[in-house]
Amino acid sequence: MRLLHICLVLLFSAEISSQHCDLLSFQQKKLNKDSLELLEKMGGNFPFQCFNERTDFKSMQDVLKLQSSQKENAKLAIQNILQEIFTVFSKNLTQTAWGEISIITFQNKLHQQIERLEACLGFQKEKDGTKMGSDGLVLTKLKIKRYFQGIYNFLEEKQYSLCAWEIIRMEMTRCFLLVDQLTKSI
Amino acid sequence: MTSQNFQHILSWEAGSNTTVPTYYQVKYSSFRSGEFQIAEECSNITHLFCDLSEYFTDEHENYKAMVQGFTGSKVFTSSTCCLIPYLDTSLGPPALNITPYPSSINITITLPASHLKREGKVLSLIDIYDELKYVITVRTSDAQVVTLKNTTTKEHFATVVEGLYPNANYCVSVAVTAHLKDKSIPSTLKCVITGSISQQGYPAVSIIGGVLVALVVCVILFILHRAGIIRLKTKKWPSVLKTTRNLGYSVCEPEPENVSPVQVVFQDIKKKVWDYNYGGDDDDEDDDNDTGNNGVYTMHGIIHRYSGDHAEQNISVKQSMDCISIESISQSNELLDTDVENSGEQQISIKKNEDTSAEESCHPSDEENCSMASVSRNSTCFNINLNTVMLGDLEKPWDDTSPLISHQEDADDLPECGDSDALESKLFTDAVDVQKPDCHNISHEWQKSSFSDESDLSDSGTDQVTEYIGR
Repeated sequence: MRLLHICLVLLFSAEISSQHCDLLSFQQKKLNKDSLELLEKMGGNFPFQCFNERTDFKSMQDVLKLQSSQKENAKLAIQNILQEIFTVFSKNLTQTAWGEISIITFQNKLHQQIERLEACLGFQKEKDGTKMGSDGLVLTKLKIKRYFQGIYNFLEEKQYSLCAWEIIRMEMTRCFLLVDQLTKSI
Repeated sequence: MTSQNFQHILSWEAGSNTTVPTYYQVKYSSFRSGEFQIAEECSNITHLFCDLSEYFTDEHENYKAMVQGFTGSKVFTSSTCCLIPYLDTSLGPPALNITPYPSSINITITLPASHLKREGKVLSLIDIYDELKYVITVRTSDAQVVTLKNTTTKEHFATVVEGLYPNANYCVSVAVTAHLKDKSIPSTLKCVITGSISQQGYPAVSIIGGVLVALVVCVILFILHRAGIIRLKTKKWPSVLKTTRNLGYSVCEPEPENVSPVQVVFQDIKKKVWDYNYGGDDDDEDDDNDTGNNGVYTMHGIIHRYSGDHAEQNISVKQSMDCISIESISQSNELLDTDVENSGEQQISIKKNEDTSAEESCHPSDEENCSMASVSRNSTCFNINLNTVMLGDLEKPWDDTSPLISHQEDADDLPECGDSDALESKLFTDAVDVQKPDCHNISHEWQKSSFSDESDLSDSGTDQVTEYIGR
């Protein structure tokens, strides 16, 4: 009986997620827009003094070149990026004067979309039964990983200073542009 | 720094200081490089603006710019940050072309060109963004606002705004934005007056439509008429067919089904006539009775058997026998005319009762009109010369048959219901079978009467006459 319940729940959740997967592109676009607004609202204008502290993070533009136009690869890349951004904003933000509500809202929205992407990716995995670990996909994952590692290192180096965070905030804004490009592929 | 359609213009003002810089120099830098580069187009300039579009090549990059004003040895610096062209540039205004109609307006929108170049080629806004949103704002004369939102993937497109009133003033403005940020510069308001409803347009269309429909209907009817489905009632029946129709009703046709009424008639007449027969002749009663009766029975039997063989002619034969019987009566016995008439009338009445459609005018006095009467009854009736009718047994060959009207008595003998065999003919109905006992009763009665007659006959002739008549 219990097994039956579990099976039914899984079945229905799979059905629901399959329906959400149709709206995934729309939802992602909305998230991109909302996140940018939130990032802008978080802080004020970029303080000029922090500009000198800027660092050239290994741009993820290569990711766009690497990843094929396959839907699943784009979805996976977006999911990875969003997850990392979420992690970034979970770090020590005490030195910033940013609004906490904005940060929480921002993170909530990220989390929602990450869940949706996971559900869709998992459903697709079961449905297609194809291998997701292609060479291009592995490389994309590595690039994303390397990029965010640089951000974590930067923050740690700068000891989570305000300027560091402002630079990171600016970089995250640019990150969403990349996600927006990827969203066109899903 | 203002940015419009990827045209980034840095503008500044002269410092509040009294000293005005003699020339300016603009530098720019990106987050990636970090180093400022001199904008060559804007170095050693005196005007207070600089177009940095050509230097901001990467629309996703974060750019910063600064201006240095030189006055002698002093340098004034002013910088601005940060510009991500993709996000921060304003789009628009689009070019509009409005065409007014009675209840709608057609708006043709053309996106502005961008200043972004890639590999020497100017990119369009659609190249950069793939899809853009646009908002049409329609203001009515009474300050009502209607907003229409949609997306486009083309540089040049048109939209129709419907549901407008004719002869009204409408002002239209269109704004184009990207998805990520609602930064746009709307077009200027363009006002137009919707047209008036022309009376010519609709009637023309309706008239043309009506004519087409009528033509189509006519064509369909013509095709159907040709195919023979529709027949116009102009063709008349040929005269020959008309007469044939009438003749059809007048042709006498035998009805073999009407069996029972005929049977009833026979009994009554036979009875009556038989009485008269005996009343007529006294001498040869016994013999004549026997032979006559036998003759009658036989004759009747023959007749019936014939009718049995020729089923179709059953009724006709009987009816003819009816006529013959009546004729024989009239021929043989004039004294019994009145009675015969009565019987005939009785016959007629009976026939009338049983044949609703019949109008028997087979009058005994009128031999030749019998055929006419039977014709009206839908029955064949023909005159038979009784002198030629032969009488005999079926078993015996025909040569031995005796003529029907050899004796007056024989002629007077009417066919009665006859033998039971005859009655058992298939063509008789149940009513006929019911009459069996009647026939038998009659025969028995006859036999009784014959015996009584014989007894009576032995007494006196005159008395017999009266007696029989009385019977």
